[in-house]
Parts: sequence; structure tokens; C-alpha cells
Amino acid sequence: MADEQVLEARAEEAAASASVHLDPAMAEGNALTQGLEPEHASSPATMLAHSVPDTTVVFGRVIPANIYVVVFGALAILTIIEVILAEILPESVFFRTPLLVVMSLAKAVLVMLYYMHLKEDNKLFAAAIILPLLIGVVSCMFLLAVPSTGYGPGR
Amino acid sequence: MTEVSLEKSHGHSAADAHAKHEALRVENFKLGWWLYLASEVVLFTVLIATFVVFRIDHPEVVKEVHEKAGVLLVALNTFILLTSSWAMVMGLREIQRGNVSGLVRWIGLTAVMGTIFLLLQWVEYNTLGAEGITLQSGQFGMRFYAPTAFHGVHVLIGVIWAVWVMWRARNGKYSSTNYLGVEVFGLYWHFVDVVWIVLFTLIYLV
Repeated sequence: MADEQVLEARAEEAAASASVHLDPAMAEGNALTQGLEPEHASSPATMLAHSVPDTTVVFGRVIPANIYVVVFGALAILTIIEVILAEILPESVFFRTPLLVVMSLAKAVLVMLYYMHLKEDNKLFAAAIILPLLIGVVSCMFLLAVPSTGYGPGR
Repeated sequence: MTEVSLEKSHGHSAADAHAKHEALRVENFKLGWWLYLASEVVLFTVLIATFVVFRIDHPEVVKEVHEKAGVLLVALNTFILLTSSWAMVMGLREIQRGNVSGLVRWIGLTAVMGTIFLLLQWVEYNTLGAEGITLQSGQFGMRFYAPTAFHGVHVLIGVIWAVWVMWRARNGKYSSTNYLGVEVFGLYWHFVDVVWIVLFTLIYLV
């Protein structure tokens, strides 16, 4: 019971001191946005630190919605833009594919940072997911180097 | 006076040690889940890479399929999955505030959205089948259905898991200080969302 009170008190402390900033300049001094120090990572506040406030600061402006709503809005807008660009840009335009891929990766990063809490969780979690991604990308590049006709006899 | 302060200090250190042990257990459990997701990344990368290589080597085939299938239905499905991910994280927020009924409502929305996604994917497969694009129809079929159906199976597992989380929530298994089960389900569901974000662009848009 005493442990629960300690946990609740620390959670309230964490919630009171936390405000979510998308603007890097505004994020200075905010423990949640800067990542947890190892000694903090082992404190009970870690498992309770994901509770988010009702407002979000985006590039210096306070938006009366929590960070999850703001991220959802960003994801929806990016998807609409992505579909429109895919429809209107001819395939011959050289930046079409890179642009769509970058937008897709931006959406994936938003989900991982804010919905999967990689922004404030242990950095080891990020490393665990980034390493296989890198291996996958490098493997793809090797695959792409194989001629479409394959390596037949005499080649 | 001295005795009192010593007892207090001892009491605090015992509570702190227990809390640290609990936090370490949570961290290790979450790391285990991240490592599982890393193994899933490898599986999906293989399937996606197979499609991408085919797309680069045979752009005309993929373009023909895109023209037959259209993008509207899949774009709608993408919105549905994004919404489900948002509902999931809002459910987590509710339980962090100690609101169990809020958790059940939001996770319920997640399950409904996941089910709608699967139904629309079924509609899409039927539409493609009517156009003659099946597993056996040339080189495209296998490369298209393998990653999208594999993802669909993940969504199905997620929907079942969501219902289980709701059942546990109704039975008082989660609280504002005990929601690791919800958080881990969230990691899985958001991962499925991230995979779809990438699949949607690489298979349907590019």
C-alpha cells in the first residue's frame, strides 16, 4: 500500500512537470523529451511517465489537444497529401518515389516516437528496432544489385 | 530521535528497492517485446524487398494492377488503421488515469476498426480476384498477397488480443499503476500500423 502511494505520488509529480513539446527549441529542460537518464530509467516514474497533458506545444503554439490527437492529425494530413501526390505526379517525375517514401517514413517515425513512446523510453528499445531495419535496408540494396535476368551461365 | 530517523531511512530504502526491482522487471519485459518486434521487422523486410525488386524490374505489371485496383479503398483502409492506432493509445491514456471504462471503450474502438480493416481487405482481394489477380496469376500475385495477407493475419491476431485486453480490463486486471499488459498490446498494434504505413506507400502508391 505504501509502495502504491509512493508510485502514485511520483506519477503525479511526473505528470505535473511534463508538458509535451514538438518544437525542439521548446523542449529544453523537459525530462520527457530529452530521454531519461539511466538512474531515472530505473525509477518507478518510468512506467508511469507516459501520461500526457491535455495541451500540446507545437512550434511555440499551444494547441488545446493532447499529443496523441495532434499526431493523429499529422498522420491524417500526411496520408491525404501522399495519396494526392501519388495521383497527380506522373511516374516520370524523378522525385516522386523518394518524396512518397520519405513521407511514409516520417509517418512511421511519428508513430514510433509518440504512440510507441520511443521518445521517452529506454534508448535500447530504439536500438533493438533500428538495427534489423538497417540490416534489412542493406540486404535490399544487395538484392537490387542483382540483374533482373539473374546470374545465368556465361554472365 | 536517532532511532526514528534510522527506521524511516530503512523503510524508504526498502520501498525504493522494491520499486526499482519492479521498474527493472517492466523495462526487461518491454525490451523482450521490442526484440520480438525486431524479429518481425526481418520477416516483413524480406516480403517487402521481394515486392520492391519485382516493382523495379517490372514496373509495367505493377502499373497495370494499380490502374485496375484503384487506390481509394486502400486509402480508406489506411485511415481506418491509423484511427485504430490512435484509439489504442487513447485507451492507454485512460488507464493511466485510472479510468477502466474509458480503456474498454477505446480498445473496443480499436477492435472494431481492426475488424473493418480486415473486411475491407477481403473486399479488395475479391475485387482483385475478379480482375484475374490471384495467387497463381503470374509473378505479381504471390509478391502482392504474401506481404499484405501476412499483415492481415497480424491484424486478426491484434483484434483477438484487443478483445482479451477488454475482458481483462472488465475483470479489474488493470489500474493506473498496473497497465503493462495494455502497453505491450499497444506496442504490437502500433507496430502493425507502422508496417501498413510502409506497405501502403511501397505497394499501392509508388
